[in-house]
Amino acid sequence: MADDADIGSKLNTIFARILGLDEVRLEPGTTAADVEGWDSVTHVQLMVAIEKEFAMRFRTGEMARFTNVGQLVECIASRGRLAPASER
Amino acid sequence: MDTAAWSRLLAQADACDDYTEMIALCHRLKALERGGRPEGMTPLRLAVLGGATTEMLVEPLRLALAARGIAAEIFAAAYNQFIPEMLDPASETVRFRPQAAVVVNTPHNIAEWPAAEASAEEAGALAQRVCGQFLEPCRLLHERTGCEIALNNFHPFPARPAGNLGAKLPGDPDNFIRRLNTTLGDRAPAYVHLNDVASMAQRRGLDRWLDLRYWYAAKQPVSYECAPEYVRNTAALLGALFGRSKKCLVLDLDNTLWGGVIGDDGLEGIELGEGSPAGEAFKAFQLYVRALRERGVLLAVCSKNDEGNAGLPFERHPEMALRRDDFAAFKANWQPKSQNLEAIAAELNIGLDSLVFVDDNPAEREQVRQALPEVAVPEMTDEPADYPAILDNARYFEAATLTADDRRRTETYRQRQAASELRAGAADLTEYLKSLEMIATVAPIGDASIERATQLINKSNQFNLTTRRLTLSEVRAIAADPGRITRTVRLRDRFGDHGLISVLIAKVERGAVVVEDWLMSCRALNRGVERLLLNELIGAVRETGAQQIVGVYLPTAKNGLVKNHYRDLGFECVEDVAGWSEWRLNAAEAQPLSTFIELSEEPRWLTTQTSGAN
Repeated sequence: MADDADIGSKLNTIFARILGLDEVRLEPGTTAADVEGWDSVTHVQLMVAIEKEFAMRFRTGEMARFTNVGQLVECIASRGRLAPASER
Repeated sequence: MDTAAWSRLLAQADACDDYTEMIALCHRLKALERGGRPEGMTPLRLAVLGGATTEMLVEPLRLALAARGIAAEIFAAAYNQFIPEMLDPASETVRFRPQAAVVVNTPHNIAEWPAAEASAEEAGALAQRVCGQFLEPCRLLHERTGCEIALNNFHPFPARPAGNLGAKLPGDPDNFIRRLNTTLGDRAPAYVHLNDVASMAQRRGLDRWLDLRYWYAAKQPVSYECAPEYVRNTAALLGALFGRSKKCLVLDLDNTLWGGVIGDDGLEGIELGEGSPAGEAFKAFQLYVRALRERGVLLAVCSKNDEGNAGLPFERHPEMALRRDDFAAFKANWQPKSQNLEAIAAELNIGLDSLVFVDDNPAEREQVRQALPEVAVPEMTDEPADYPAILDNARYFEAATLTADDRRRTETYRQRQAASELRAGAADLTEYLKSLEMIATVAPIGDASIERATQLINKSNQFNLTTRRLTLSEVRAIAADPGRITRTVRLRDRFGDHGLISVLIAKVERGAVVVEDWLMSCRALNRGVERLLLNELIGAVRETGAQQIVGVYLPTAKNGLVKNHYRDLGFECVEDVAGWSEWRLNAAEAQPLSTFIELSEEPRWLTTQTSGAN
């Protein structure tokens, strides 16, 4: 299993980069409404950056369904670069 | 304003191939813009119309345009509204008054498909109809706004249910798309510029060009992997329309045009052409460069070599595809390359920002990048087989149209060089000008000259009094306006035909004629063409009954050359504010100025020119 804190810090960096913010601090309960600039357009851009960073592919129906950061981290932990190959 | 940060950002933007990186650069662009833009960027009002979602492309496109010297203000229409936005005379797009529009259409926007068993004739007729469904809205938008339009052609169909058989079935969707793309290319009018998605998807591979997950989830027209390429291609296409393409390719010799070092290895030792694999790759690159020259790109050599050695392969190597006279300038010496590039730009009378410098040696590239950041220096590999693709992908030399003058350009620059050699030998300027045996034709802008005139209007930087850029349709409207005087000048001399080299546009107002545009190709500098053109203008002004000719000089970073243009022609300065100046001449009293140019009423070489077809 990937380390959730490690994923969290990488996500903070990705969010700051895509949203053009100096610093982002995501918590498992953070939703789009809590973060400046996280809208439907930047959401897709975030998904793209996350796929690249964690060498994974979201499923077609999945990317629009995350309602908070915790669910996103869970998905990355199970299928991202750091997850065992059999689970990706 | 932080000039260094701007040039760093624009260089990174130009080379950027990663979407996420591009988004980060877009944020930097916005931050830098708060401190003001660099001087000399071309402003552009651009509409982005989507048959798909376009939000993810808008800011990257603005970034890629900035890298090409264009400051775009973008209006993005709502998702899949491109047809109504073009059809409705009061749409937001029309009211935005765009100078250019980018239409992001995909095969999903094709409304009708052939039946599976359709014949070639039926599929062909349908392709015509579907083409009309895209081109007719373009025509309406163009007529209402005068804007130039970049329209996608279509990437291959993502599924092949008929397998290989589809290649024989006119009703197969992929087969039909090929027919449609050909029809679009044949039918697109001058103001529709095809954004060649078909070619890009083919080059990258359709599996990489499309990521259907993002189509289903968010209607994204191109994968994020390939979005940067689509954006840069669009920016290059728009750049060509607004005078931002490069003009001259400057080439190193050793290990760039042939393998090995001519000074060390000698004629027998260098690798070029049949007989060695690397030699074949260098030959292929030479053929590519020659094709660039044939469509109007100027070539120059910049090599650290003895001049005698450097010329040897051009004279004596049987496999050379390029000849010495393919080059408008040739510098082989031991000076720093940056100095030679400056000399080449000066000799050809073009800006440093019109040069592309190709050299296999990373140290030379770095020296030029540091000394002359305006010069484009592509990152080369040490693999000559890559060279044509590297230049293709950088899209430096995009052209909106191809005119006969383009194909003749190197020749005219060479003629000018011969003329400057003659000047060195002539006793004085008068003798020199007489010896040129110049013949000019002066005529209003007409059907035969409008494309070249528009091109000149959008490319001339140095001899250009107001630097006003105009689209083809704007020029057409001006040419048809009875309240306007337009003149073009074609010039020929004993060294050859220079083609159409000067344009003047003036507006007839109450008692005065105001010169709105006066520009000339630098290849005709110091010939007296402007004196001849003033004489013609005075004649035309007298016919209108107006008394005064009013001229304006608007300074830019590049047009210092014509600061005293009106003074030298005998105008009086009536206002001079911060470099901007207004000038007047009494047309009724003005005496004709002497020139050494014979006027030809009948454009007697025009007929040979069009039928000669170069």
